[in-house]
Amino acid sequence: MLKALLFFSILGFSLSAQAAIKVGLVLDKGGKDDKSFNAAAFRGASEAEKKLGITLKTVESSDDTALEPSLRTFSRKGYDLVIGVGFAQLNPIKKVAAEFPKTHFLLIDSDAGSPNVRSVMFAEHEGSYLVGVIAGMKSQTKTVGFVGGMDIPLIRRFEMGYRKGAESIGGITVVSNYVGSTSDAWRNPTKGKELALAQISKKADVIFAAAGTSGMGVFDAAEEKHVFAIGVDSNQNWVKPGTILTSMLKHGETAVYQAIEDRNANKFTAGLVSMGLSDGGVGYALDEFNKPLLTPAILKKVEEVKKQIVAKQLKVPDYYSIKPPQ
Amino acid sequence: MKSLAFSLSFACTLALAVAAAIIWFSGESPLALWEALRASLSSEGLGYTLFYATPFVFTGLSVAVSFHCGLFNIGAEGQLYMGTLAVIATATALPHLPPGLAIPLGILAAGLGGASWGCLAGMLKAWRGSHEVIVTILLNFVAYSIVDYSILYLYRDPVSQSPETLKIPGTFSLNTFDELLSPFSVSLFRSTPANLSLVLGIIVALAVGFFLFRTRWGFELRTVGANARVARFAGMNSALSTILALSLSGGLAGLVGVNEVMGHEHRFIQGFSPGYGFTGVAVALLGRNHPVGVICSALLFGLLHNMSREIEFATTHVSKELSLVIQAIIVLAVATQPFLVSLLKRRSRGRAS
Repeated sequence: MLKALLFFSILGFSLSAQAAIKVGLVLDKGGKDDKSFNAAAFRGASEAEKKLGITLKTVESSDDTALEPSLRTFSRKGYDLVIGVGFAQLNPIKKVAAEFPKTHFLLIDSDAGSPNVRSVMFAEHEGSYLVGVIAGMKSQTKTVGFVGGMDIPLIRRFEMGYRKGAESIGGITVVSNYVGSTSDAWRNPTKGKELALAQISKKADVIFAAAGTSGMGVFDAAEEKHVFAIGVDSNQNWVKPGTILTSMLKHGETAVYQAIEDRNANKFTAGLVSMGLSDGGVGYALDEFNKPLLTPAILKKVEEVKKQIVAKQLKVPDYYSIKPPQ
Repeated sequence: MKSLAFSLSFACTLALAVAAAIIWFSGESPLALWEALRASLSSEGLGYTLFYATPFVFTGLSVAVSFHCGLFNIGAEGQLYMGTLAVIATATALPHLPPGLAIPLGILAAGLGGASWGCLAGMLKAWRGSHEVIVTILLNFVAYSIVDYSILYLYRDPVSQSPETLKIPGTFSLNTFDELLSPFSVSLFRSTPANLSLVLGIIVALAVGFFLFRTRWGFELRTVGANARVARFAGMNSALSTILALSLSGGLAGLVGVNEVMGHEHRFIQGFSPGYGFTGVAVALLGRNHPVGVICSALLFGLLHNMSREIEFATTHVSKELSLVIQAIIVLAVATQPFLVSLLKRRSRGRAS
């Protein structure tokens, strides 16, 4: 009897120990309130904390040098899964993952290629293609705009998908601008607005903003001039209902949640994971805020295109296949 | 020196007390502060503390030198970027130098790069009477633009998503303390970027002290700072001293590039500085513009900067900005200290009578 009790108590102990895995989340300079990608990762991790009962610890970093010691501190403290968000963490994760081969890591937006790291990259071009189709169909002037944040391959990938999607409608002109070529480009709404106004003066009446916080300026311009804007990363339809046509969704939260869930169930796998339309990694947002804006014809068309992409009947041109990232 | 030690410990005690109170009010144990402090002084934490202290030594000295000449250099941020750019330009132009030549040349380039930017402000001040505060602030933006352009269009690493340059040749690297200690299997500083630049910083600080207090030029510089008219009356060239002070100030700031590029990243990552140049003003103020004081306060600011990360690890809700609060309180405490002290004295005197 005593033995059985002891057995169960040990079992119970080991079960409870297994249930509460420790997850460390390292955000980059954007921080958890960037309303964009870091925010999405934080959302996913918080949801996992609520639903799976894991222990979550989040740290932000004041400069890029601080990323590596943050990752290392988590690893040394025996965290089971350490998550790094953003391509700036590529080299730090590679280094720390080699020092702690038994710890599992998740890297988002870059491929580490280490044996204990799961790297998640999103097929941004596929989601952008869909919102491009929506933009092309909605446009009265047959001109649509693109405002990118920082001019890097990642955002070029958004642009290319969007452009091809819009052009697939026929007779559409795409005008495109970038806020800048430094990381300040993510947080310059004034310039975002200026660029959007310039594009509107060139007859653009739908503008896709893949520009972090600078996108808020694009939304302002669109509202002022009564044209449409398209949001990015998180669902931004609620920001300006009636102006925001849709949002290109990049489900960072899904990637984070899934990795935590897998680690929690001891099913964590390392390697490169590509999340596209077929597995819900990217998509377009449809909710009560933008439903009145999207006609049944648009919805029918975009769902059709989505099916074609998922079924691999339609291949969306990928900027990375022209210029592969590191 | 004794009053400096007093003012430092007074400021730190006050700041830590307020920080502990903030943590307590947010519903967590104030002991978290102690934990963060301990972690920042552990083997790895100490390495990062020293790594962050190094740029503060340079920018603190930079601001201190300009203060001695009665000038306020707020351009250290731009100057340190120009110094860093000069290191990259030199290393890219001369990839085949032996280390014995490459390292001194890299250090010289960093100094000259920053000095050129400080010199510009100095000439505008000395010959055109432009106010150095305005000029140095505005030259920061010019420097950012030049540096951004150079990183993006001249030296960019084409395969990287981040705006950063290619790695410079290995002959330009300064050893980290970790590398130097590795043959002795010492675990201190393990895998931290603290490097020989700190030693350079200390040597430079001593040299600056010698220059300011033991040479004729240093004396003239300080005299111009104390009273430019008297200095001119005594036959000193105040324009030259102004230019010299701001050039030297810029050069010292430029040496941050040695720590960042030659000691740590081996490349120029756009926007690497979390405001080293601006914090340099606080470092100089706290160190009473004395080279030894600057070293001490740089170590303190390095510790506080590193603690911002450790505070997040030690608490659940308190964010890294608490470390900025501590820094601010320290600066305020030092700035208002004469007032506080006289207030206390008046009170005790009042009580005595």
